[in-house]
Amino acid sequence: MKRKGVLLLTLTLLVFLTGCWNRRELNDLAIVMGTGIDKINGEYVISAQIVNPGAVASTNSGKISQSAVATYSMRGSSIFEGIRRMTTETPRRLYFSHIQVLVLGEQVAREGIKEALDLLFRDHEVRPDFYVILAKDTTALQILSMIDPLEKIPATKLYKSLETGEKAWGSIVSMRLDEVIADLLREGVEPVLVGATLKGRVQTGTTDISSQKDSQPNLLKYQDIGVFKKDKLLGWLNEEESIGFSYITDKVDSTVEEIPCDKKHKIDIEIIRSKTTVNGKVKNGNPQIEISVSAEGNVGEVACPKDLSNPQTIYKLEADVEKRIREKIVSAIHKAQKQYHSDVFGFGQSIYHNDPKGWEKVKEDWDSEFTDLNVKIKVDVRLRRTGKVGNSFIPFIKKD
Amino acid sequence: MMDTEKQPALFHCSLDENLEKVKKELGNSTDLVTRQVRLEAVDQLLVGILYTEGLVDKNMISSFLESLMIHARKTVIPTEAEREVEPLMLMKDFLLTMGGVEEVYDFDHLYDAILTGDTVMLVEGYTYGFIINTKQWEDRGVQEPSVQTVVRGSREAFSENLRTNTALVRRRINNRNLWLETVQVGEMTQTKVAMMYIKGVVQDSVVTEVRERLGQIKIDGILESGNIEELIQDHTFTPFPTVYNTERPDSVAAGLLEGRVAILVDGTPIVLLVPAVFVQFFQSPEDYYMRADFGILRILRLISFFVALLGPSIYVAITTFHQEMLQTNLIMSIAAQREGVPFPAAVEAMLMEFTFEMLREAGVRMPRAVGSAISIVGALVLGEAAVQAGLVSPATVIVVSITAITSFVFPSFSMSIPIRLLRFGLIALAASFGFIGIFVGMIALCIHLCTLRSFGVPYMAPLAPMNLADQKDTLLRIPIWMMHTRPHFLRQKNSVRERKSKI
Repeated sequence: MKRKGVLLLTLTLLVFLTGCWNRRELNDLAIVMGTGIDKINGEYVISAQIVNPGAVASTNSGKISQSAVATYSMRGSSIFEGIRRMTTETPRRLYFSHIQVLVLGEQVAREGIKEALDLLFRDHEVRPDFYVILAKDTTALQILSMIDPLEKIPATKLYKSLETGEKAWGSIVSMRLDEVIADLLREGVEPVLVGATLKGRVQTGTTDISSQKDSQPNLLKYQDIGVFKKDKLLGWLNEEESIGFSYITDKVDSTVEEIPCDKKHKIDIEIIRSKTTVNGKVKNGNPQIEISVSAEGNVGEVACPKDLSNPQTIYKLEADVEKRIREKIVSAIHKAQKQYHSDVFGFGQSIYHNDPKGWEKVKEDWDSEFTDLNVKIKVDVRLRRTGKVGNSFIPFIKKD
Repeated sequence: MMDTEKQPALFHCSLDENLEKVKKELGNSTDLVTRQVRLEAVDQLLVGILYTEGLVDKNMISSFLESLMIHARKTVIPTEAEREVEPLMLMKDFLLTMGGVEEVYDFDHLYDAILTGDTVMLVEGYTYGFIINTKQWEDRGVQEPSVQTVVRGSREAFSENLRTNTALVRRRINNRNLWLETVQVGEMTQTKVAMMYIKGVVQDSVVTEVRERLGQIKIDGILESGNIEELIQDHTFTPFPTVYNTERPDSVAAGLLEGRVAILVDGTPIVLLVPAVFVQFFQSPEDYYMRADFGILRILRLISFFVALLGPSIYVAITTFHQEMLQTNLIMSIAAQREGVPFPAAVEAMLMEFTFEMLREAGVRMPRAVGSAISIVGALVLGEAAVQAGLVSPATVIVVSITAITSFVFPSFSMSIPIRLLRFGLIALAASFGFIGIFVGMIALCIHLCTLRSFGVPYMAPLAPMNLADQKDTLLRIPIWMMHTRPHFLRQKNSVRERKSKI
């Protein structure tokens, strides 16, 4: 009984004497929502966007005079050094678990991103499920500093518009950190990262909403996909090529295809479902790729007199959409093959998956094999519905 | 009796001496009534009557006196020549119109009788008398249950009278196998404690065990069944109740049908049922009266158990150790609330829990008249003022309120006490080690629960040890027509409950 009592006392003391190792109160943390990495004069510049919870949470919605975020930046010869040195500026310890985006400056991307990613992948505090984006023609700090009137936190704006844009338009692809690392490690595929860029009038370092009231809201947008070779940025795919890229890599959820119907007017087809399979094999020492896209769509917008009640018109439209998709795919492949020599589509991967033995033969000089690769494209589009109305009302508008 | 070695004190021949002795030994207590009557019809016998005022039925006393003083003259009593027996036996046969009449030979039994409400009749010249059953005392009567209320089901609750209580159970089980044993416990109080069980259903060893444990009690007084519960439970050091208690006769009847033993104590409306298992405290009588799908609420109660137990500690652990576990928007709004709060989350949670427990305690103890005043102050202090003053964050208030509500979900109040206790320990663990602490605490709790037994039955049965057949009445209640057997973990002699009664 006495020994039990001593044991119990020891255990109780154990609870209270530990000093609460690793305890962090919420109000001692600076929650980092977005991080940026730039490279200036050979030195890294780390920026961290810290949220001010009081200004964001709905309880204080009445007063928006407080700024919702503060973006700090600090130079350092390594990322870690920069982050730690930043505590000389920030009032609280930086807390990286809730990062939503990592913005890499174009300069960093061109010189290689591998060193920049190691810390964020290694540190236990950071969850590797945030999006990695590029700052196109500007710095990461600049991208992080742009305020949007709807989203008080720029990092959240970047995160949300990336997800919406990917789902509804398809010209941008979201890449999480773990996916980027996986693409860097796997054979037969090169990473891509979407670029964010500024448009219109730019105010440097504005983080206060009140100063943004009059300016046009959409100062920041995603544009183009950056093509990498190993960990270095080579160049960009434009919007059309980017959508082609999304088709090939089966990332299209929904998008819009425009088809000319006469000289001035167009018909828009909404793609509502799309499935792509890529088949790769090595035949007689020659790698071959077969892409087959099967998509479903609705008629979305009609600006010309066409008889949609006639099945032949629909068949014609289907063929046109197929052609349009094929064009996009071809342009993407062409640019990757001829200009960048970088297999961003993962063609090597699909050969490796379907024909592992064949892959052993071609993997040695895959770069040159890729450049001359013969790609067969099969597109199959079915149109399902024409919306609430059949034929367009435009031809029936009364004439003067 | 207290001292079995002592020879019982026998009556004198003289009635006066007997009466004087009784008066003296009861300290001339003023509620003792003595009365002398001369029976003219029966040999001019001088009869003394003793009873305690307030414990007897006044009507019975008056009709008793009537029979002695008036009817005795009219009754045809055999003449002296005809009778072969003593006049006293004659009286018993012809004059005492009451139901229960016994002979009494010594003072100890006399005291027992008059102090429990019987009337004693002594006769001049005889060394024995009669005990006449005239018990009847002020009683609350059968009222509606006040703690274990149900929407559908019987509205009867036990009262303080043991006889009423046994009758309430008997009215529900009209079977000759429903057996009742009574023992007197408490050397001073001589409290009547009754065991009820259904012979042929209950496991005999449980009955023997209960009987033995009751027999081993050596204490001056038993005032409530809680005294008995503490004295007969298997493990002394556990926050969990290993004896079930209820104020509902239908719960007791259901327990008896399952093969449990009920222990009724005179003077309290709370009846004990043993053996008790953990899941029993989550079962409400209503579960069996409503349709079977109502039994899904058991899961709600189980969830409430975990919320009530872990709510504040998980909140503390997440906000001080594992901020990455929360969704970004959520962490932001909690962080915003915590801005400017001077205490760590753990202190804040402890503070609020203490305040709530104090309010609850005050709510039970305070006089009814000041109740509303306290509740207004409590609501203001707990809710508005503390938050506005920036002493606690609204999130903590929400967590504490949810915990408070969930701790009242259990049909059995005795289960909410261990939860209230353990909650504080878990908050301390969470504040020191985060989730690791909570997990260690929960593992220790699991081990502890699995070591508990109630009258030989594992406390966690039928979950651990797992018995698939008994799951029918554990997390869910399956329809009654599918419940063919009584719960096996009670190891009844007869486990068949129901045979194809559904057409």
